[in-house]
Amino acid sequence: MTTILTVPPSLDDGTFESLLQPLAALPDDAKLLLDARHTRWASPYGLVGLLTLAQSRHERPQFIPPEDANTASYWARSGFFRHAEKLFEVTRPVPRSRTGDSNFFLELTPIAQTEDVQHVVAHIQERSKAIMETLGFPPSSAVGFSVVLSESCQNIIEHAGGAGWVAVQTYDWSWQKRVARRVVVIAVSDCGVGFRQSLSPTRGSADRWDDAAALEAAVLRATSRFRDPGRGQGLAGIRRYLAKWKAKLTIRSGTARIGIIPEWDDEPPMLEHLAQFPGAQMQIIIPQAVE
Amino acid sequence: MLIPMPLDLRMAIARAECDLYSNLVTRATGRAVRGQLEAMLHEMQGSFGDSALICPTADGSIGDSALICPTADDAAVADAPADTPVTVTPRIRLAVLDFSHVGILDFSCADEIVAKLLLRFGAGLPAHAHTPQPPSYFMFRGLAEAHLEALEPVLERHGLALVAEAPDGTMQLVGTVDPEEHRAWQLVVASGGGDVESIASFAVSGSSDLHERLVALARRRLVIQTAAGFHPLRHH
Repeated sequence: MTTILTVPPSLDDGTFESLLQPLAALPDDAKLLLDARHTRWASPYGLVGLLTLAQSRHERPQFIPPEDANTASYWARSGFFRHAEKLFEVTRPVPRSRTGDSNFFLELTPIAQTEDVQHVVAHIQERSKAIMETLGFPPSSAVGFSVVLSESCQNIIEHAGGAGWVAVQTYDWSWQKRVARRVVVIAVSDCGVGFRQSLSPTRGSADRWDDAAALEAAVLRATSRFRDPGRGQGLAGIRRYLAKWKAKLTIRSGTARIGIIPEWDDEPPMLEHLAQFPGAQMQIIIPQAVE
Repeated sequence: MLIPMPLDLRMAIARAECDLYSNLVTRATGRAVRGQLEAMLHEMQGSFGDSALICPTADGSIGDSALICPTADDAAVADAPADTPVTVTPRIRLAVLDFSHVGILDFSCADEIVAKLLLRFGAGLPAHAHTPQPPSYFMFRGLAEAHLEALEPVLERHGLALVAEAPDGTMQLVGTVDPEEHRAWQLVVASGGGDVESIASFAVSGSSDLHERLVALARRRLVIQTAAGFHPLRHH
Protein backbone atom coordinates (compact mmCIF):
# COMPACT_ATOMS: atom_id res chain seq x y z
CA MET A 1 0.00 0.00 0.00
CA THR A 2 1.24 3.45 -0.89
CA THR A 3 0.69 6.33 1.50
CA ILE A 4 -0.10 9.62 -0.20
CA LEU A 5 1.21 12.80 1.38
CA THR A 6 -0.20 16.02 -0.01
CA VAL A 7 2.35 18.80 -0.22
CA PRO A 8 0.71 22.01 1.05
CA PRO A 9 -0.10 24.79 -1.44
CA SER A 10 2.46 26.97 0.29
CA LEU A 11 5.43 24.98 1.55
CA ASP A 12 7.59 26.60 4.19
CA ASP A 13 9.09 25.64 7.55
CA GLY A 14 5.67 25.78 9.21
CA THR A 15 3.64 23.83 6.67
CA PHE A 16 6.43 21.30 6.14
CA GLU A 17 5.44 19.94 9.56
CA SER A 18 2.11 18.82 8.11
CA LEU A 19 4.03 16.39 5.89
CA LEU A 20 6.01 15.02 8.79
CA GLN A 21 3.06 14.22 11.07
CA PRO A 22 1.75 11.29 9.01
CA LEU A 23 5.27 10.33 7.95
CA ALA A 24 6.37 9.77 11.53
CA ALA A 25 3.79 7.03 11.94
CA LEU A 26 5.05 5.07 8.92
CA PRO A 27 7.82 2.49 8.83
CA ASP A 28 10.94 3.64 6.95
CA ASP A 29 10.30 1.26 4.08
CA ALA A 30 6.65 2.18 3.56
CA LYS A 31 5.78 3.19 0.01
CA LEU A 32 5.23 6.89 -0.28
CA LEU A 33 3.81 9.27 -2.85
CA LEU A 34 4.25 13.00 -2.43
CA ASP A 35 1.60 14.91 -4.30
CA ALA A 36 2.68 18.48 -5.05
CA ARG A 37 0.20 19.09 -7.85
CA HIS A 38 -1.48 21.95 -6.04
CA THR A 39 1.61 23.46 -4.52
CA ARG A 40 2.13 27.02 -5.76
CA TRP A 41 4.99 28.25 -3.64
CA ALA A 42 7.89 26.77 -1.70
CA SER A 43 10.53 28.39 0.44
CA PRO A 44 14.16 27.21 0.35
CA TYR A 45 13.40 25.37 3.61
CA GLY A 46 10.47 23.59 1.95
CA LEU A 47 12.54 22.52 -1.05
CA VAL A 48 15.57 21.27 0.87
CA GLY A 49 13.11 19.63 3.26
CA LEU A 50 11.52 17.63 0.43
CA LEU A 51 14.93 16.40 -0.73
CA THR A 52 15.86 15.46 2.82
CA LEU A 53 12.58 13.63 3.25
CA ALA A 54 13.31 11.55 0.16
CA GLN A 55 16.86 10.86 1.37
CA SER A 56 15.52 9.58 4.67
CA ARG A 57 13.42 6.85 3.06
CA HIS A 58 14.57 3.32 2.35
CA GLU A 59 12.51 3.22 -0.83
CA ARG A 60 12.47 6.04 -3.33
CA PRO A 61 9.16 7.86 -2.89
CA GLN A 62 7.09 8.84 -5.89
CA PHE A 63 6.65 12.51 -6.57
CA ILE A 64 3.98 14.35 -8.53
CA PRO A 65 5.35 17.78 -9.46
CA PRO A 66 3.35 21.03 -9.31
CA GLU A 67 0.80 21.47 -12.08
CA ASP A 68 1.23 25.21 -12.23
CA ALA A 69 3.73 25.96 -14.99
CA ASN A 70 5.27 28.95 -13.22
CA THR A 71 5.75 26.98 -10.04
CA ALA A 72 7.29 24.03 -11.89
CA SER A 73 9.57 26.38 -13.82
CA TYR A 74 10.67 28.08 -10.61
CA TRP A 75 11.39 24.75 -8.93
CA ALA A 76 13.39 23.71 -11.99
CA ARG A 77 15.42 26.91 -11.85
CA SER A 78 16.03 26.35 -8.14
CA GLY A 79 17.73 23.07 -9.09
CA PHE A 80 15.08 21.06 -7.28
CA PHE A 81 14.13 18.65 -10.07
CA ARG A 82 17.76 18.02 -11.02
CA HIS A 83 18.34 16.55 -7.56
CA ALA A 84 14.80 15.23 -7.03
CA GLU A 85 15.10 12.94 -10.03
CA LYS A 86 17.83 11.04 -8.21
CA LEU A 87 15.87 10.75 -4.98
CA PHE A 88 12.24 10.44 -6.10
CA GLU A 89 10.45 8.65 -8.87
CA VAL A 90 9.11 11.75 -10.56
CA THR A 91 5.85 10.73 -12.17
CA ARG A 92 5.58 13.45 -14.83
CA PRO A 93 7.96 15.29 -17.13
CA VAL A 94 9.38 18.39 -15.49
CA PRO A 95 10.97 21.53 -16.95
CA ARG A 96 14.70 21.28 -17.58
CA SER A 97 17.27 23.65 -16.23
CA ARG A 98 21.03 23.72 -16.23
CA THR A 99 23.31 24.49 -13.31
CA GLY A 100 23.63 28.25 -13.03
CA ASP A 101 20.45 28.84 -15.05
CA SER A 102 18.74 30.27 -12.01
CA ASN A 103 17.66 33.47 -10.39
CA PHE A 104 18.06 31.72 -7.06
CA PHE A 105 20.58 33.47 -4.86
CA LEU A 106 22.08 30.06 -4.23
CA GLU A 107 20.22 27.23 -5.89
CA LEU A 108 19.77 23.91 -4.11
CA THR A 109 23.29 22.61 -3.62
CA PRO A 110 24.40 19.30 -2.15
CA ILE A 111 26.91 19.48 0.70
CA ALA A 112 28.87 16.31 1.26
CA GLN A 113 32.48 17.37 1.69
CA THR A 114 34.74 20.30 2.51
CA GLU A 115 35.16 21.23 -1.15
CA ASP A 116 31.39 21.74 -1.46
CA VAL A 117 31.49 24.35 1.30
CA GLN A 118 34.45 26.12 -0.29
CA HIS A 119 32.64 26.13 -3.61
CA VAL A 120 29.44 27.52 -2.09
CA VAL A 121 31.31 30.30 -0.28
CA ALA A 122 33.27 31.25 -3.39
CA HIS A 123 30.14 31.13 -5.54
CA ILE A 124 28.13 33.38 -3.27
CA GLN A 125 30.91 35.84 -2.41
CA GLU A 126 30.24 38.45 -5.09
CA ARG A 127 26.47 38.13 -4.92
CA SER A 128 26.44 38.48 -1.15
CA LYS A 129 28.01 41.94 -1.36
CA ALA A 130 25.18 43.11 -3.54
CA ILE A 131 22.45 41.56 -1.47
CA MET A 132 23.74 42.76 1.88
CA GLU A 133 23.95 46.27 0.47
CA THR A 134 20.39 45.91 -0.82
CA LEU A 135 19.40 44.96 2.71
CA GLY A 136 21.01 48.14 3.98
CA PHE A 137 24.12 46.60 5.53
CA PRO A 138 27.65 47.83 4.83
CA PRO A 139 29.56 45.94 2.10
CA SER A 140 31.87 44.50 4.75
CA SER A 141 28.92 42.52 6.15
CA ALA A 142 29.11 40.32 3.05
CA VAL A 143 32.07 38.57 4.64
CA GLY A 144 29.96 37.85 7.71
CA PHE A 145 27.24 36.47 5.47
CA SER A 146 29.73 34.11 3.85
CA VAL A 147 31.04 33.03 7.25
CA VAL A 148 27.49 32.29 8.43
CA LEU A 149 26.89 30.23 5.31
CA SER A 150 30.20 28.41 5.68
CA GLU A 151 29.64 27.51 9.32
CA SER A 152 26.03 26.46 8.65
CA CYS A 153 27.11 24.10 5.89
CA GLN A 154 30.00 22.74 7.95
CA ASN A 155 27.55 21.46 10.54
CA ILE A 156 26.48 18.94 7.94
CA ILE A 157 30.01 17.70 7.33
CA GLU A 158 31.08 17.76 10.97
CA HIS A 159 27.96 16.39 12.63
CA ALA A 160 25.41 14.94 10.25
CA GLY A 161 27.26 11.84 9.20
CA GLY A 162 25.85 12.20 5.70
CA ALA A 163 25.18 14.58 2.86
CA GLY A 164 22.85 17.54 3.10
CA TRP A 165 21.52 20.51 1.20
CA VAL A 166 21.76 24.28 1.24
CA ALA A 167 19.76 26.95 -0.60
CA VAL A 168 19.53 30.72 -0.32
CA GLN A 169 16.89 33.02 -1.76
CA THR A 170 15.80 36.61 -1.34
CA TYR A 171 12.22 37.78 -1.08
CA ASP A 172 10.31 40.99 -0.87
CA TRP A 173 8.18 40.42 2.20
CA SER A 174 6.79 43.96 2.27
CA TRP A 175 3.28 42.44 2.23
CA GLN A 176 3.97 40.49 5.40
CA LYS A 177 2.76 41.82 8.71
CA ARG A 178 5.52 40.43 10.89
CA VAL A 179 8.57 41.77 9.09
CA ALA A 180 7.32 43.76 6.06
CA ARG A 181 10.76 44.10 4.49
CA ARG A 182 13.06 42.45 2.00
CA VAL A 183 14.68 39.33 3.47
CA VAL A 184 17.33 36.76 2.68
CA VAL A 185 16.51 33.18 3.65
CA ILE A 186 19.16 30.51 4.15
CA ALA A 187 18.01 26.91 4.50
CA VAL A 188 20.33 24.02 5.39
CA SER A 189 19.11 20.49 5.90
CA ASP A 190 20.46 16.99 6.34
CA CYS A 191 19.09 13.61 7.33
CA GLY A 192 22.03 12.59 9.49
CA VAL A 193 22.24 11.65 13.13
CA GLY A 194 20.86 14.90 14.53
CA PHE A 195 22.03 16.95 17.51
CA ARG A 196 20.92 14.54 20.23
CA GLN A 197 23.02 11.67 18.97
CA SER A 198 25.91 13.87 17.89
CA LEU A 199 26.21 15.44 21.34
CA SER A 200 25.27 12.43 23.43
CA PRO A 201 28.89 11.73 24.52
CA THR A 202 28.93 15.15 26.23
CA ARG A 203 25.91 14.65 28.46
CA GLY A 204 26.11 13.96 32.15
CA SER A 205 24.38 10.82 33.33
CA ALA A 206 21.94 12.77 35.50
CA ASP A 207 21.03 15.30 32.82
CA ARG A 208 17.74 15.37 31.02
CA TRP A 209 18.68 14.33 27.52
CA ASP A 210 16.36 14.70 24.58
CA ASP A 211 16.29 16.65 21.33
CA ALA A 212 15.40 19.93 23.06
CA ALA A 213 18.21 19.54 25.60
CA ALA A 214 20.70 18.76 22.83
CA LEU A 215 19.62 21.81 20.83
CA GLU A 216 19.92 24.02 23.91
CA ALA A 217 23.39 22.66 24.60
CA ALA A 218 24.59 23.29 21.04
CA VAL A 219 22.90 26.60 20.31
CA LEU A 220 22.79 28.31 23.72
CA ARG A 221 25.92 26.89 25.35
CA ALA A 222 28.14 26.16 22.31
CA THR A 223 28.62 22.58 23.48
CA SER A 224 30.60 20.40 21.14
CA ARG A 225 31.03 16.63 21.06
CA PHE A 226 34.78 17.24 20.80
CA ARG A 227 36.88 17.85 23.89
CA ASP A 228 38.82 20.52 22.04
CA PRO A 229 37.77 23.90 23.53
CA GLY A 230 38.14 25.41 20.07
CA ARG A 231 35.17 23.43 18.83
CA GLY A 232 31.54 24.50 19.05
CA GLN A 233 32.29 28.04 17.95
CA GLY A 234 30.45 27.86 14.65
CA LEU A 235 26.93 28.20 16.01
CA ALA A 236 28.06 30.77 18.59
CA GLY A 237 29.63 32.78 15.79
CA ILE A 238 26.51 32.49 13.65
CA ARG A 239 24.45 33.81 16.57
CA ARG A 240 26.74 36.82 16.97
CA TYR A 241 26.28 37.84 13.34
CA LEU A 242 22.54 37.20 13.42
CA ALA A 243 22.14 39.31 16.57
CA LYS A 244 23.88 42.17 14.77
CA TRP A 245 21.54 41.83 11.80
CA LYS A 246 18.41 41.22 13.93
CA ALA A 247 17.98 37.97 12.05
CA LYS A 248 16.03 34.89 13.02
CA LEU A 249 17.54 31.43 13.47
CA THR A 250 15.62 28.20 13.89
CA ILE A 251 17.09 24.72 14.09
CA ARG A 252 14.93 21.63 14.06
CA SER A 253 16.35 18.29 15.06
CA GLY A 254 14.51 15.10 15.93
CA THR A 255 11.32 16.18 17.67
CA ALA A 256 12.30 19.70 18.75
CA ARG A 257 12.97 23.08 17.24
CA ILE A 258 14.92 25.87 18.89
CA GLY A 259 14.66 29.48 17.79
CA ILE A 260 16.69 32.60 18.37
CA ILE A 261 13.80 34.92 17.81
CA PRO A 262 14.27 38.63 17.08
CA GLU A 263 11.84 41.35 18.12
CA TRP A 264 10.00 41.33 14.80
CA ASP A 265 8.81 37.76 15.28
CA ASP A 266 6.74 36.17 18.00
CA GLU A 267 7.40 32.46 17.56
CA PRO A 268 8.22 30.50 20.71
CA PRO A 269 11.94 29.90 21.31
CA MET A 270 11.41 26.16 21.71
CA LEU A 271 8.94 23.72 20.19
CA GLU A 272 8.87 20.17 21.48
CA HIS A 273 6.97 16.99 20.68
CA LEU A 274 7.10 17.61 16.94
CA ALA A 275 6.94 14.68 14.56
CA GLN A 276 10.21 12.76 14.49
CA PHE A 277 12.39 13.68 11.50
CA PRO A 278 16.03 12.71 11.07
CA GLY A 279 19.02 15.03 10.94
CA ALA A 280 18.88 18.78 11.41
CA GLN A 281 17.11 21.55 9.52
CA MET A 282 18.31 25.11 9.92
CA GLN A 283 16.69 28.28 8.67
CA ILE A 284 18.08 31.80 8.89
CA ILE A 285 16.03 34.85 7.93
CA ILE A 286 17.95 38.12 7.59
CA PRO A 287 15.63 41.10 7.19
CA GLN A 288 16.44 44.43 5.62
CA ALA A 289 18.04 46.78 8.13
CA VAL A 290 15.74 49.42 9.58
CA GLU A 291 17.19 52.93 9.53
CA MET B 1 67.99 44.19 14.45
CA LEU B 2 65.26 41.65 14.87
CA ILE B 3 64.39 40.23 11.49
CA PRO B 4 61.08 38.43 11.30
CA MET B 5 60.74 35.68 8.78
CA PRO B 6 57.69 35.67 6.59
CA LEU B 7 55.77 32.46 6.94
CA ASP B 8 54.19 32.34 3.53
CA LEU B 9 50.51 31.70 4.09
CA ARG B 10 49.87 31.59 0.37
CA MET B 11 52.46 28.87 -0.06
CA ALA B 12 50.96 26.93 2.84
CA ILE B 13 47.52 27.18 1.24
CA ALA B 14 48.94 26.03 -2.09
CA ARG B 15 50.82 23.16 -0.48
CA ALA B 16 47.65 22.13 1.32
CA GLU B 17 46.01 22.10 -2.13
CA CYS B 18 43.38 24.57 -0.93
CA ASP B 19 44.38 27.37 -3.30
CA LEU B 20 41.45 27.12 -5.66
CA TYR B 21 39.88 29.99 -3.72
CA SER B 22 41.33 32.81 -1.66
CA ASN B 23 39.08 31.97 1.28
CA LEU B 24 40.07 30.16 4.44
CA VAL B 25 36.90 28.28 5.31
CA THR B 26 36.16 24.88 6.86
CA ARG B 27 37.99 23.09 9.63
CA ALA B 28 39.57 20.58 7.28
CA THR B 29 41.10 23.40 5.25
CA GLY B 30 42.37 25.08 8.40
CA ARG B 31 43.91 21.87 9.65
CA ALA B 32 45.64 21.25 6.32
CA VAL B 33 46.99 24.79 6.09
CA ARG B 34 48.27 24.74 9.68
CA GLY B 35 49.98 21.43 8.98
CA GLN B 36 51.82 23.07 6.10
CA LEU B 37 52.73 26.12 8.18
CA GLU B 38 54.18 23.88 10.87
CA ALA B 39 56.13 21.92 8.29
CA MET B 40 57.46 25.17 6.85
CA LEU B 41 58.53 26.30 10.31
CA HIS B 42 60.36 23.04 10.83
CA GLU B 43 62.00 23.32 7.42
CA MET B 44 63.21 26.77 8.36
CA GLN B 45 64.66 25.29 11.51
CA GLY B 46 66.35 22.59 9.51
CA SER B 47 68.10 23.08 6.22
CA PHE B 48 67.85 26.50 4.65
CA GLY B 49 65.82 28.12 7.31
CA ASP B 50 68.56 28.47 9.88
CA SER B 51 69.53 31.65 8.21
CA ALA B 52 66.26 33.11 9.31
CA LEU B 53 66.46 32.12 12.92
CA ILE B 54 67.11 35.01 15.19
CA CYS B 55 69.92 34.72 17.66
CA PRO B 56 70.29 37.03 20.58
CA THR B 57 73.84 38.30 21.00
CA ALA B 58 76.17 37.23 23.75
CA ASP B 59 74.60 39.66 26.18
CA GLY B 60 71.23 38.23 25.35
CA SER B 61 69.85 41.35 23.71
CA ILE B 62 68.00 41.31 20.44
CA GLY B 63 68.06 45.01 19.79
CA ASP B 64 70.21 46.61 17.12
CA SER B 65 73.00 44.19 17.86
CA ALA B 66 70.95 41.05 17.47
CA LEU B 67 72.09 38.70 14.79
CA ILE B 68 70.67 36.30 12.35
CA CYS B 69 72.47 33.03 12.95
CA PRO B 70 74.68 31.94 10.08
CA THR B 71 73.82 28.34 10.94
CA ALA B 72 72.14 26.31 13.59
CA ASP B 73 74.94 23.84 13.64
CA ASP B 74 76.73 24.19 16.96
CA ALA B 75 79.96 22.94 15.43
CA ALA B 76 79.79 25.60 12.78
CA VAL B 77 79.26 28.21 15.46
CA ALA B 78 82.28 26.86 17.32
CA ASP B 79 84.33 27.06 14.12
CA ALA B 80 83.31 30.63 13.45
CA PRO B 81 85.95 33.37 13.52
CA ALA B 82 86.78 34.66 16.96
CA ASP B 83 85.06 38.00 16.39
CA THR B 84 81.74 36.32 15.61
CA PRO B 85 79.43 36.75 18.57
CA VAL B 86 78.45 33.44 20.10
CA THR B 87 74.91 32.79 21.09
CA VAL B 88 74.46 31.92 24.71
CA THR B 89 70.70 31.92 24.95
CA PRO B 90 68.24 29.90 22.92
CA ARG B 91 67.54 31.19 19.44
CA ILE B 92 64.28 32.97 18.96
CA ARG B 93 61.99 32.45 16.04
CA LEU B 94 59.68 35.25 14.94
CA ALA B 95 57.34 34.37 12.11
CA VAL B 96 55.09 36.78 10.26
CA LEU B 97 51.82 35.61 8.79
CA ASP B 98 50.32 37.90 6.20
CA PHE B 99 46.55 37.65 5.74
CA SER B 100 46.23 40.50 3.26
CA HIS B 101 45.31 38.19 0.37
CA VAL B 102 42.82 36.13 2.39
CA GLY B 103 39.21 36.86 1.48
CA ILE B 104 37.02 35.11 4.02
CA LEU B 105 38.24 33.65 7.27
CA ASP B 106 35.63 31.64 9.14
CA PHE B 107 35.65 30.61 12.81
CA SER B 108 36.85 27.11 12.04
CA CYS B 109 39.90 28.30 10.13
CA ALA B 110 40.58 31.05 12.67
CA ASP B 111 40.67 28.34 15.32
CA GLU B 112 42.67 25.78 13.35
CA ILE B 113 45.20 28.12 11.79
CA VAL B 114 45.71 30.95 14.27
CA ALA B 115 44.65 29.71 17.71
CA LYS B 116 46.08 26.23 17.35
CA LEU B 117 49.33 27.53 15.83
CA LEU B 118 49.78 29.84 18.83
CA LEU B 119 48.90 27.06 21.26
CA ARG B 120 51.20 24.49 19.67
CA PHE B 121 54.12 26.85 19.83
CA GLY B 122 53.67 27.62 23.49
CA ALA B 123 51.34 30.60 23.84
CA GLY B 124 48.94 30.19 26.70
CA LEU B 125 51.00 27.61 28.56
CA PRO B 126 50.87 27.91 32.34
CA ALA B 127 53.86 29.26 34.24
CA HIS B 128 56.71 26.74 34.65
CA ALA B 129 55.37 24.55 31.87
CA HIS B 130 57.92 23.22 29.42
CA THR B 131 57.82 25.44 26.34
CA PRO B 132 58.65 24.26 22.83
CA GLN B 133 62.14 25.18 21.64
CA PRO B 134 63.25 27.35 20.05
CA PRO B 135 60.81 29.90 21.45
CA SER B 136 58.53 30.91 18.60
CA TYR B 137 56.70 34.18 18.25
CA PHE B 138 54.13 35.13 15.66
CA MET B 139 53.19 38.49 14.26
CA PHE B 140 50.15 38.93 12.06
CA ARG B 141 49.77 41.32 9.14
CA GLY B 142 46.97 42.21 6.79
CA LEU B 143 44.18 41.41 9.23
CA ALA B 144 41.06 43.19 8.00
CA GLU B 145 38.07 44.03 10.18
CA ALA B 146 36.24 41.03 8.76
CA HIS B 147 39.10 38.71 9.74
CA LEU B 148 39.08 40.12 13.25
CA GLU B 149 35.37 39.40 13.58
CA ALA B 150 36.19 35.71 13.31
CA LEU B 151 39.51 35.85 15.14
CA GLU B 152 38.60 37.76 18.28
CA PRO B 153 35.97 35.37 19.64
CA VAL B 154 38.22 32.41 18.82
CA LEU B 155 41.15 33.93 20.70
CA GLU B 156 38.89 34.85 23.60
CA ARG B 157 37.59 31.32 23.80
CA HIS B 158 41.16 30.06 24.28
CA GLY B 159 42.25 33.02 26.43
CA LEU B 160 44.83 33.89 23.76
CA ALA B 161 46.03 37.15 22.26
CA LEU B 162 48.22 38.02 19.31
CA VAL B 163 50.24 40.93 18.01
CA ALA B 164 48.88 42.42 14.80
CA GLU B 165 50.77 44.91 12.67
CA ALA B 166 48.72 47.59 10.92
CA PRO B 167 49.61 48.83 7.42
CA ASP B 168 51.24 51.92 8.96
CA GLY B 169 53.53 49.71 11.02
CA THR B 170 51.84 50.31 14.35
CA MET B 171 51.13 47.24 16.42
CA GLN B 172 48.07 46.26 18.38
CA LEU B 173 46.99 43.41 20.58
CA VAL B 174 44.01 41.32 19.52
CA GLY B 175 42.24 38.89 21.81
CA THR B 176 42.14 38.48 25.56
CA VAL B 177 44.33 41.00 27.33
CA ASP B 178 43.57 42.59 30.67
CA PRO B 179 44.14 46.35 31.05
CA GLU B 180 47.29 45.97 33.17
CA GLU B 181 48.83 43.57 30.67
CA HIS B 182 47.92 45.95 27.90
CA ARG B 183 49.60 48.88 29.68
CA ALA B 184 52.74 46.82 30.25
CA TRP B 185 52.79 45.79 26.58
CA GLN B 186 52.43 49.42 25.50
CA LEU B 187 55.42 50.33 27.69
CA VAL B 188 57.53 47.67 25.97
CA VAL B 189 56.52 48.99 22.57
CA ALA B 190 57.07 52.64 23.56
CA SER B 191 60.47 51.91 25.09
CA GLY B 192 61.61 49.67 22.27
CA GLY B 193 62.48 47.07 24.88
CA GLY B 194 65.17 46.65 27.46
CA ASP B 195 65.42 45.74 31.10
CA VAL B 196 62.52 46.25 33.46
CA GLU B 197 63.88 49.53 34.85
CA SER B 198 64.28 51.12 31.46
CA ILE B 199 60.83 49.96 30.39
CA ALA B 200 59.33 51.25 33.65
CA SER B 201 60.88 54.66 33.01
CA PHE B 202 58.39 55.12 30.17
CA ALA B 203 55.44 54.82 32.55
CA VAL B 204 53.64 58.06 33.38
CA SER B 205 52.69 56.76 36.80
CA GLY B 206 54.10 53.97 38.95
CA SER B 207 53.88 50.53 37.49
CA SER B 208 53.94 47.95 40.24
CA ASP B 209 54.35 44.28 39.37
CA LEU B 210 55.75 45.25 35.97
CA HIS B 211 58.23 42.39 35.93
CA GLU B 212 55.53 39.81 36.60
CA ARG B 213 53.36 41.29 33.90
CA LEU B 214 56.21 41.29 31.40
CA VAL B 215 57.00 37.67 32.20
CA ALA B 216 53.33 36.85 31.68
CA LEU B 217 53.33 38.70 28.34
CA ALA B 218 56.43 36.79 27.27
CA ARG B 219 54.79 33.52 28.25
CA ARG B 220 51.86 34.53 26.09
CA ARG B 221 54.32 35.26 23.25
CA LEU B 222 53.29 38.91 23.11
CA VAL B 223 56.77 40.23 23.95
CA ILE B 224 60.13 38.55 23.54
CA GLN B 225 62.08 37.76 26.69
CA THR B 226 65.85 37.45 26.62
CA ALA B 227 68.59 37.66 29.23
CA ALA B 228 68.72 41.40 28.48
CA GLY B 229 65.06 42.04 29.15
CA PHE B 230 61.83 42.27 27.24
CA HIS B 231 61.39 43.30 23.63
CA PRO B 232 58.52 44.08 21.29
CA LEU B 233 57.82 41.93 18.25
CA ARG B 234 58.80 44.86 16.11
CA HIS B 235 60.13 45.07 12.63
CA HIS B 236 61.70 48.35 11.60
